[in-house]
Amino acid sequence: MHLKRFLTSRLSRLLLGALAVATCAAVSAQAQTVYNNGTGYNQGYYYSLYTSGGSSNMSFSSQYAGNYALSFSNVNDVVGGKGWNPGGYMTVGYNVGYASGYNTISVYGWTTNPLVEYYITEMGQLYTGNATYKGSVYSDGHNYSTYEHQQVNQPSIIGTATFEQYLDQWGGANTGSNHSVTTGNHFNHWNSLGMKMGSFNYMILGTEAYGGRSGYVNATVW
Amino acid sequence: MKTACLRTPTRRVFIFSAALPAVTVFAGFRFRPPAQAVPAQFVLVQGGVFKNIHSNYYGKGVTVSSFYIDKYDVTQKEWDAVMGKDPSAFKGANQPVENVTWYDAIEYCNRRSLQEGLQPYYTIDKKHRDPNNKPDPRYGDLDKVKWTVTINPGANGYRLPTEAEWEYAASGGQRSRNYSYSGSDLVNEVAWYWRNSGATFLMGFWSWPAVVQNQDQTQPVGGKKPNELGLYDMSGNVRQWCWDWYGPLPTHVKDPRGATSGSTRVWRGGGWMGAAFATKISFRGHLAANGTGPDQGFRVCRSH
Repeated sequence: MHLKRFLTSRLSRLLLGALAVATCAAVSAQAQTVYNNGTGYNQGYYYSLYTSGGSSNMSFSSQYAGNYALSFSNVNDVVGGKGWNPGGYMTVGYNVGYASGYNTISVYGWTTNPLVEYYITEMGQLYTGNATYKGSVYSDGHNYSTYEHQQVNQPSIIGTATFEQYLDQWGGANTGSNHSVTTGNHFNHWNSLGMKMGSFNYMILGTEAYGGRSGYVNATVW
Repeated sequence: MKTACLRTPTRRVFIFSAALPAVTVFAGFRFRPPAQAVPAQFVLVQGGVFKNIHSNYYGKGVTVSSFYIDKYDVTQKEWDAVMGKDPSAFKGANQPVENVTWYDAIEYCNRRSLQEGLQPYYTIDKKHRDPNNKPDPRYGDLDKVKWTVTINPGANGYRLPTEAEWEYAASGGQRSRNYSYSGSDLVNEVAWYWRNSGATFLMGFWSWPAVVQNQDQTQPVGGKKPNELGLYDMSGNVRQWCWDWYGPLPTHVKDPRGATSGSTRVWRGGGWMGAAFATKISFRGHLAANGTGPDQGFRVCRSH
């Protein structure tokens, strides 16, 4: 996942640059805090944390199974979240209790056959300058703008591939309130536009920050 | 590891003698009909029906004839000896060549065949666009090359495996132990893929920035456990082009060669960049024939 690079040519740029020494990982399977990079299951949810440059940690509340608190400092890029593997048609409930320093908070995932990378952006905005606007869809009380973008010979979950990126962008969620994302509304909308989905791989409510930012996001999914 | 000594220099000496076999002409080239042994690093895959229960062809009445296949992906050293210019993003003589299109792989097969005095398996017509190369229904006309490539079924030269041959070999052939990856049910025993192809073992969901940061890349061939037939890297490292157009799999047929037309060619085996599921013996990938990337290589075989 890298929301910043949505709709951009990533492969050549990233292969030539950004080959920095990997951030040290410090993960404890039983611990309630993950530092910089890690993955696993916590109270029934799949979690993932990735950090490039700077530092981060993600801790989990024992009170709410889907809760994560992500702190980050001076990060080139940090992506963290909790979700499901596989994703699919479901109602994703979430509450972002506090958020600062982030760029986007989105429901993000992949399908295969056809290969699709998708985003449903709840907070913040993705760059859509070279995407095709496809219309809009009303779901869960607000309008999303729909975009599609073709990636040719670009990195993907199956390796170099030609695939589509789908985006439903809202970005207007506030903190401290319960929200829901009825993923089926988005998938069915995309399908009605000929934007087909495949077999679901992972899907998370992901927070991303980049560009040297520091901040803190406390979110709960259910 | 490689047996380059088995290769002969390019032979362009034509012997016109009634006592010798007739000179054969393929695609404008002349050469002597040979009967060379296959390189020592090739494995004879005994044909038959699919034994591996995880195979797409299992129980479908598909039979594969015996054929030879290289134990290893084509390395950069091997590529350089035939083609002269290495397109790979990650350099290393014993690492698999990558960044090759399907057309590149086809050309390699023919040029290597000619170098070794074998009959080219392919006829390559670069002047006429292949009418069977259709626009992709999803992405349009991505392939701007569209050479017309046909096969010479009786030729003894190097060629790409068909998709059925690839899956038969990857699944262990008649020696199959029903592994889901080629040679194991534990992906890390047999495959280089996104988690284990860099500085550290990556965790989390598949993430391209994480892959780049971890300096994931191809690895020298033969570094993991071989499969039941002694073949290395059939899961992971680089994806391997197959001959076939991508399309529905056939049933009740001997030696299928795929659809008669299509918009993409099949690759199999997965590579260092992708997730583990793409390295399973059953995973089918496809890409336009002129498409490529730093995880796209190939392996050659020869008919028995």
